[in-house]
Amino acid sequence: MRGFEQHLKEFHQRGFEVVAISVDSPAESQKLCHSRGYTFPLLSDPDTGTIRQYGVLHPKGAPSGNDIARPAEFLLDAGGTIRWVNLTDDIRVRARPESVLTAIDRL
Amino acid sequence: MARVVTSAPAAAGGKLTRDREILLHSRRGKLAAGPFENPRPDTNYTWDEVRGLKRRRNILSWAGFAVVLVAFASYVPFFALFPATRDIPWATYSLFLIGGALLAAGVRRAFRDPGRYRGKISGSILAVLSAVVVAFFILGVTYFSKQIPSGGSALRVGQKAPAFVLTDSAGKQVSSAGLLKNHRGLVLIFYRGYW
Repeated sequence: MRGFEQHLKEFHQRGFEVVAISVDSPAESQKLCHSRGYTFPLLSDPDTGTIRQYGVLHPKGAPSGNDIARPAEFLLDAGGTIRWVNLTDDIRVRARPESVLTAIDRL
Repeated sequence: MARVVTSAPAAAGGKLTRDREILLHSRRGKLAAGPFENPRPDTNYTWDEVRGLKRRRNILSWAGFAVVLVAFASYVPFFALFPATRDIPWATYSLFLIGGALLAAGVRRAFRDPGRYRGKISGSILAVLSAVVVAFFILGVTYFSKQIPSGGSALRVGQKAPAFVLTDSAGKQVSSAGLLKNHRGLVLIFYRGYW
């Protein structure tokens, strides 16, 4: 997410918004925004409704045993159709913003 | 009965005397009594050299262990911030190698030259601890960080993205419809969160 923040201008120049979704509460997201300097929206999905709809639930993924989201990135076009997906198999290895920008340029 | 050396003989240099051998075997500067054997019978020590043979702290072993610990501890707060050193942690592995080489050199000289260097036991313990640290790191990046469900159930390219209305960090409701109206598209990043 740090990389996306650094490349945020390039996404905005292309008319795309970056949105991050997790089970974190708005207060927790606010803390994260402050500590990491994120300026794109962090959305809160505490009951995992949206996370389930996108099929990226990680049941009991939190140490507390709560359900969370698995890491994933989706690219949506203006019509709301999914045009690009990245599903990592390793929580350390996330999509690089450069590859998402490339996917946008190919739309 | 062993004699205790309290001062250097007037004439420096020359062959090892029994007194100097006693000093040679002294640990931490304290003189010990007992049957002694010159560990370096091939060498003529001068008095200064014998004094220099007080067994030294084995700094290499400790430096190597420190490098291994720094390598382990720096991954999450530093190297994981950059995709180049995160996805394949080559920087961390390189530091492990440097630490391991230092430690190996330290342990090697502790065993090869025990009259001169300390650290046979401490070096061995540090080596085992380092191996545990390295093994834990490798296990972490090759096993623990892959314990997530497969992406098989995720929505695919070409499917319609479900609409959502969620709360942002300021407590404001944000809808996908509103976002899509004002943009050419969206990048949705699902993340594990910090609970």
